[in-house]
Amino acid sequence: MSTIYEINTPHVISESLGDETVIINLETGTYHSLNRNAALIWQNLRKPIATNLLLEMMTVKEVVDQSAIAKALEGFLGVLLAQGLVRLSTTKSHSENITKMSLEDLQLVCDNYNDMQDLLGLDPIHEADPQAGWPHKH
Amino acid sequence: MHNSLPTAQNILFVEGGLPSPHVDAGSLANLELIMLLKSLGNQVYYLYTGHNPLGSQDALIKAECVLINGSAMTRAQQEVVLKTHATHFAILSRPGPALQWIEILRACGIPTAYFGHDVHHERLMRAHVLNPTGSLQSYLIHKSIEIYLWNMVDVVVYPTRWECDYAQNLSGRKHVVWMPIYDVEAICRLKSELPHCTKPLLPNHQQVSRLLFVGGSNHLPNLDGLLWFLEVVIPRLTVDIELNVVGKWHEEAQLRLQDAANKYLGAISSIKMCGSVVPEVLLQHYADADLVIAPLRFGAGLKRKVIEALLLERPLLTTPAGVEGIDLSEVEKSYLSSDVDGNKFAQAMIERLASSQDENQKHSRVIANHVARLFSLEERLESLAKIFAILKSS
Repeated sequence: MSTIYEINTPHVISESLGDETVIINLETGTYHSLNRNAALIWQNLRKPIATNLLLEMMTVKEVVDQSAIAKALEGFLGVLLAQGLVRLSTTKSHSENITKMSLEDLQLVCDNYNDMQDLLGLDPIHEADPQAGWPHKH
Repeated sequence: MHNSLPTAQNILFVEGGLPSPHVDAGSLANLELIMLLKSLGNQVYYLYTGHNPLGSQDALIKAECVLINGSAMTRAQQEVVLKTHATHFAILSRPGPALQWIEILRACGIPTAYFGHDVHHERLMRAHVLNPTGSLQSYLIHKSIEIYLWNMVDVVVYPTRWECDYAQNLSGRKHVVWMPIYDVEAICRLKSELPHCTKPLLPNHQQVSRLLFVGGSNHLPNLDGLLWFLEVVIPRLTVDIELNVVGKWHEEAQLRLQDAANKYLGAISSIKMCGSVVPEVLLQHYADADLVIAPLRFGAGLKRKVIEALLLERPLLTTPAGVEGIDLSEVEKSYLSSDVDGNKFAQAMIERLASSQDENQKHSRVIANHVARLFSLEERLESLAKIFAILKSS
């Protein structure tokens, strides 16, 4: 059975320009940068979407093994889930206006950064993790 | 409309640090807004989140504000602050502090205004366009957060109309209010206290023309603009200059300026780093300058240095970025600014330095009167009334 994911709003916000996409988790104070492949998938997560629909819309250059694509997608969604950027949705998957995703390869990268404090002039305030502080120090 | 002006309200003003008006135009704008609110009989609680270590309590104590150290507060402590001071409204200054407080303010149902000073991400994008190296991450982060804040607060306030339109279009809401932020009457009073500032300018027969630049290196457009001026404009100038730079410049930025000066200034020309100065000394610098320059290649919001020079009736040459957001006629804009082009800027400088001082004075006075009307107390009160009309209906 296919799992439905959606962006963990309102605490997760994102912006894209060209090949760059940045996601911010306001609860943890971390931000994340996606590579082009990952950004294509992220665009389709703006509304609740089932993994089988995502898989249907994905093509990968020179990769014919559908199970490899499914495994890469599962791994990527697992990373997003662990970072609190997406959540499992209980609502119905949308099926309209899904963008076709032509991936270069199976590299789905979500880099994590903790220096938003410096960028924005923030100091620890949230109680997301009293031990780690906010933003989290890893 | 003025019936909506706030009186006897408890207003929480959240900022990253204590005011540092000698080095930060944003601090000065905050203080001027706070003074305006105080003058209407409101109590202002100034909470600083502690990130910015600069600044002092002096101006706030003088204004009889209540100071709150809000460093490292938990959500529960934030709630205690709001309840203890029976907060009616909140004003959030700049993105970082705003992000820290918006959730609790919403949870407690306190109407909130976001005072953005300038659209940070647009300024970052303009910098990126000029120097397209590196990542767009900082731009994207600021854009995400500014749009988030615009959508979370009840009122968004910017000092230029184009930023208001921009914020309104991106947020899709009609809650953005233009507010002319500077206390122009205070600047005009300073001018009248120092008669030498308003006396007719001396005929320009000095061998070395005295130029003045006001602004610190913390604000990237200042560093970029002065480096551009030294590296690109100076080699095209046919006059010798003495450039006085007023403002706080970090050592590394000073070294970069000095390197450029050593390379491009002739034997007679010179640059002097004057550091941060008190208002009286700043006025003296204005009085001594043959030409105030603001060679800004980018930026956003209003540029206080430009408004200040105009109100003091000093001869000024800036760029389109310098006059952006000031409602001037095309004739006035072309008189005050030159394209960001080394040849054109140098030529405009030479012409201004050689032009009749009477003519300069006449132009400066007309523009000063116009700017004083644009930023008058009446205009500021009208904007404040609009802001609080929305807050009260929230």
